[in-house]
Amino acid sequence: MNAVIIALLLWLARLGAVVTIIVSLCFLMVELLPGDVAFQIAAARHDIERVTPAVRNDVYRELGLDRSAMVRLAEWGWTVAQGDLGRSNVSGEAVAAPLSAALFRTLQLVAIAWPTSVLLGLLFGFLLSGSTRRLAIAKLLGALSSGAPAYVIGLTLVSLFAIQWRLLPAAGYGGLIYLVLPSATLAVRSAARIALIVATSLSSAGGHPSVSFARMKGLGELEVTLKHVFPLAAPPIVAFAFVGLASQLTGVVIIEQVFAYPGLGKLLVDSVVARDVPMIQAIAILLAVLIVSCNTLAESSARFLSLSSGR
Amino acid sequence: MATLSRRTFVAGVATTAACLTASADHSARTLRVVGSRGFVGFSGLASSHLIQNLEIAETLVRADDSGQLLPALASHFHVDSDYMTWRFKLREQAIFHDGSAVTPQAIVQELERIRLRPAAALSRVPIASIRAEGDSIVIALTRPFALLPAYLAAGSSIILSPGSYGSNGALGAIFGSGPYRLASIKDANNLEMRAVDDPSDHAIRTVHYMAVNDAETRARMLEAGNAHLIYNLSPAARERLRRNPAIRVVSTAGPRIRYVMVNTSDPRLADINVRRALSLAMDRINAARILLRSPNVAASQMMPPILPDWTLPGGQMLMHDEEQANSLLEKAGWKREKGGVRQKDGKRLSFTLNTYSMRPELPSLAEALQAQWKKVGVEVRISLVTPDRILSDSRSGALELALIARSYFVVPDLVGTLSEDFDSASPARGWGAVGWSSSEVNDALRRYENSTDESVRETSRKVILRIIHEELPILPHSWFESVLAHSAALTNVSNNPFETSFSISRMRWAS
Repeated sequence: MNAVIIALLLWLARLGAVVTIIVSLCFLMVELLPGDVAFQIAAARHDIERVTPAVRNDVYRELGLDRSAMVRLAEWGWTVAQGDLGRSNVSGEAVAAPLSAALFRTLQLVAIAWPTSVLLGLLFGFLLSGSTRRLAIAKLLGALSSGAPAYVIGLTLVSLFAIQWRLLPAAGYGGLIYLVLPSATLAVRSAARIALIVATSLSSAGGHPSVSFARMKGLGELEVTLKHVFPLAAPPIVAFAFVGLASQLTGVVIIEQVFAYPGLGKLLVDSVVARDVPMIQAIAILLAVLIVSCNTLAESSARFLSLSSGR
Repeated sequence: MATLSRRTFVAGVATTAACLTASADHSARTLRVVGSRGFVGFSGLASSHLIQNLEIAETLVRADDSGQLLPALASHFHVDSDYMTWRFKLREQAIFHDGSAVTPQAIVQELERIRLRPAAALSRVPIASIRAEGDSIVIALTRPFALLPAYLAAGSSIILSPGSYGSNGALGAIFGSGPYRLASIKDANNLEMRAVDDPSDHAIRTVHYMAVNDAETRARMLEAGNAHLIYNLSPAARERLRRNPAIRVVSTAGPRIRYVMVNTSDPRLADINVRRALSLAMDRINAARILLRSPNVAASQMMPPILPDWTLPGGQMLMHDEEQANSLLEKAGWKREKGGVRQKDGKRLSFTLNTYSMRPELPSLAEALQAQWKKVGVEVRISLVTPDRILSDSRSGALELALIARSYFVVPDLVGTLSEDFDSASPARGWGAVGWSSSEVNDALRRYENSTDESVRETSRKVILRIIHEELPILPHSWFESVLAHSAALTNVSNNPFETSFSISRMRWAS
């Protein structure tokens, strides 16, 4: 019980700090981006070649960009404190609706990609553990997949499954079929990393004195694995699976671009191009909450499992 | 049991999937269109251009594929002899998609709303009053202005029903009067439309418009069969799709031009010989062939041949001639030693060329220009900036050279934008000429604006084109080709260089 309360407090404290730092940094970075904010917003609204000085000045007046950055940040903070995420600078509409729609779509992707990557990671990790040669293969695969940019994996899948064989759509959003390639791209990357952790954890747990002792006692191999190896190997694997969840939530930024998938990542990139500060800030808050939660889950689950396995 | 080879399995699955996709398409017959810009939102006319292109809303007057103005919501229109009062007779039995009748009063209300917005083309028209009179809309002007119909055909002049606005006056829905009604806005990048009337057999009944900002992704969607029609192809994708037998590519060079802005108040660039030399040193054809992969888009003069009214006789007028460029620079007193940078009175002939990467081809075109000008002893430093910097430097006079792209079709009469860019009294000046003025061009632009007489307009056009060609306040580089590609399942696809309509209502399924 105590552990749950500690985890909750830890999560809240970390969340508060991270969100405050992230939104301030985001705001500052947008302020520091080259170019005139009013012009960029006008270009996002009307296309760059339709922006005349009058159109730009109208945006400047409408959004009150003559006020200092600190005043605008404080005003925004006050609106958020009242539970309102504000309105988009580009569309003029409340950011909450497009934000929740994008969040839902990203979660759809991750809901498929994460369990898939965990299952594949466990399976391959298990198959690749045991011998030093297999472990070397696991390390190689892990390195290759971490090194391969997401868009390379994504484009390879598109050219095979969408263009060559016409089995799946190349991009867009519609039914479940549109989720296959982007979530596969997301899953492939983290599956390889999880497999590596599983393989190394199982290997090192296999060498633990308690496991050797269990074998000496004459326990069967299955029993040794289930009762002694798995409990020892579990904490780092579970922790890494949650870290993998966090990295999938950030990995969507690139993958959603490749697949023109209208989730949080695409919304974030579009909003940065358009200098849509309220939207960027809202996405930053949301991603911060999600990622801090994943990391807290990773830590507390590792702690819990370590305690229960007696390490 | 016979073993199934992997190849047979993949081929089998692919065939089944292809059959399923094809049959699904055939029964639902939803046209899938992919463009680059999405629905930006309900405020401030932001998406009016898209709503116009998708034929959801209409304007009083429309521009066809050649820029000719034709009746739309107005069945006909005329101007009184003083060119001050225009009458637009409303088309009979026009109905908005919310079921309400299109009345002159509704149009007056909408036009009044539009012209208050700075982004609207109509805000630049000298309007005294707009009123309904019987079945007509009467627009009175404060001075003669013959371009009014063209301004009413602009994307920002689309007419929506009064029911589109909420009680607070804010736009909350899109009810137009065009052949397609907006069935749903799934999100900013996904719109669904349905034909208003039950169309003939092969006509397009339902449309799914999707916005995808990456040109390569759009091309892949067409190749994979997820889209029937895509807009704005990249040069690389165009080459690839041309070789695909199931895909048709349509390119049209319209009135969007890439050119070098030249600050003529800079003493070095004030000399016409220097500007001519810079223009002669530009190898437009090779730049177009190699970098844009289309030699036909090299600007032989300011406007592309698709606009015969706007081209001067004489074919290739902007020549590439390094020798002549060198002799003009010598004549202007810029001397060169051992192939280095030219100098005069201890000053180097060296400029900063600003450009931006929002149009991805511009930086590489700028590098080609840098190399071409170096050959004649002109040094150029390329500076990648945001477009607003070019606009503000142009207005403050700090600009030297800038390579930009500029559309002359926002108002479907070129003079609408030409007068912003080349009339020295224009308050909107920023793109186009910098520090340059010509009273002849100013007069010609005004005469054109004030007269509906075709002979007056013809003379004005020739004056404007001739003087810009002779004095080179800008150095035309290449025309912008709007490239679309569509599946062979679709016929009657046209490419409107004024970008006023995708003309989906004219398209047909091939079978």
